[in-house]
Amino acid sequence: MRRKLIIEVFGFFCLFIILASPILASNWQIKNVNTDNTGFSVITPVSVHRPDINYSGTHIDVTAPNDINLGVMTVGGPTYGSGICSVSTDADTWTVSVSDTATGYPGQMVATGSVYLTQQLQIGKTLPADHNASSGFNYNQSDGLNNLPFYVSQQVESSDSPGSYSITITFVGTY
Amino acid sequence: MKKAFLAIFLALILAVALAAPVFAGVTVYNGKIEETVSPGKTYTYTMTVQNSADSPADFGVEVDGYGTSANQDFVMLSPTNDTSPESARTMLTVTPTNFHLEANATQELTVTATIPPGTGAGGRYAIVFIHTIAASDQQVATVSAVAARVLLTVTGNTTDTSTQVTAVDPITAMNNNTAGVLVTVTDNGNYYVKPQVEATLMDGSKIIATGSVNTGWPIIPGYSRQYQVNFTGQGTIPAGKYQVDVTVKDAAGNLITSTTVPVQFSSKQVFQTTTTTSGTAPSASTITVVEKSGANINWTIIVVAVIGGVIVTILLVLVLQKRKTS
Repeated sequence: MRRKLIIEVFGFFCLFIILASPILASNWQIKNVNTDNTGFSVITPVSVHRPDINYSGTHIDVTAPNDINLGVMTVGGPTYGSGICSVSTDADTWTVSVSDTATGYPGQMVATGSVYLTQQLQIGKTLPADHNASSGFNYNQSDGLNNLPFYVSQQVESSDSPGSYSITITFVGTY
Repeated sequence: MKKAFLAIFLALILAVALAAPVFAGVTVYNGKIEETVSPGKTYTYTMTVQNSADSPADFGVEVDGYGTSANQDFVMLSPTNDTSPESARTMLTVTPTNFHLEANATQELTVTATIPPGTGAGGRYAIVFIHTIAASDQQVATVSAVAARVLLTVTGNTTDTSTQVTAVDPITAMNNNTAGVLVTVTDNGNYYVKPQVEATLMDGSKIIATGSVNTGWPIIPGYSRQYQVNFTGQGTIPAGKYQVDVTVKDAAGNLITSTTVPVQFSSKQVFQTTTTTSGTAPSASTITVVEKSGANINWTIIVVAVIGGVIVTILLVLVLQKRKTS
């Protein structure tokens, strides 16, 4: 009985480790940035030095936050979301421009066809997010490289039609 | 019953494993072209694009116009909006324009600049826009991208860096902000300018406060950029009329233009007592490769996961044993 128990414990433990290995072995670092009222915990990619790879030239890496699900948006108070942007570069001066670059209804969440929310999505690196997504904002070297906070908020008006809305935010780095 | 518990357990673990967020990341090496070129010649440049995410991704590449706006150091312009005579967009081609990359895989891009015969002297500017392609069912999808700036200087004798201060607007000190001015600089020439903007607040011939900004980013010919210059000085000044001397210098410190404009503050102004200068000039960088690696293991996560795994497993087995004995 005791031996069987030990075997079962060991078996389950091995199973747990094997199945959890994609998380453990990957280069994700769990960071709790729940310093605001959005209640989001996020996972941040970690960059490390790889001297065995010999690329040349100045470089910049831009890792946008993971896609954000705002859930069901209701009329009234804004719906919030957040994420983390990461930049890696050896350039002295860099900037990452964050905005909605769509030409159709820039800054606005769009449903199928020409249906869109009245208010623009608000984006920013602080709360409350206070930049229209059409014009956006910038990160630069004064913000640091990793764990760059990204916030969104969407206000829904009573005149807005029910539906499934979406938007694409582009993080463009340059140096 | 035991199989049901096992199935639930496996499903939970799989859900946790598969729920790890997928990040879209792109690394570009040699993502800036700054060269002197001659009319009638063709030049080839190579950039390397790497999928820095941990999952496969599709990429797209386009050539756009390059401009600046009041608040942006670079603006990508569609062909419709790229009307500048200093545009290099039509001189550039890039291959490939679409490709798929596995995690950490790389793709070389070939950028070809064909300078037509008779092209006049001065700068020609464009952006090679390299981006992931959004593939998301989430409400706010994100795209990682790099704007590889192309700054070509066509040889000749008529490089013109004429620059004009087109607006100076006072910033009233309020809350934690100091007084300052918003200076709008316009490049009227045919070559980019990396301006150093200096402003001096004067009361007659008396210097009250000074400030400067040097972002290191260029203004593209035909475009303007607005700079916030915060004043540094001692104490306060009462409301009233003053004047601001504004000078614009190039990256080498040579005076390009200057102007004096009256400003009026409607309330008492308080000045910072420390210098604030934003930005440094870009320069060539040494090769420092920063790369993601699966070898980077966070031991804290492992310890927590192992402890959690042990606890969960023991509890599960105890439950199973209890059910079996009962």
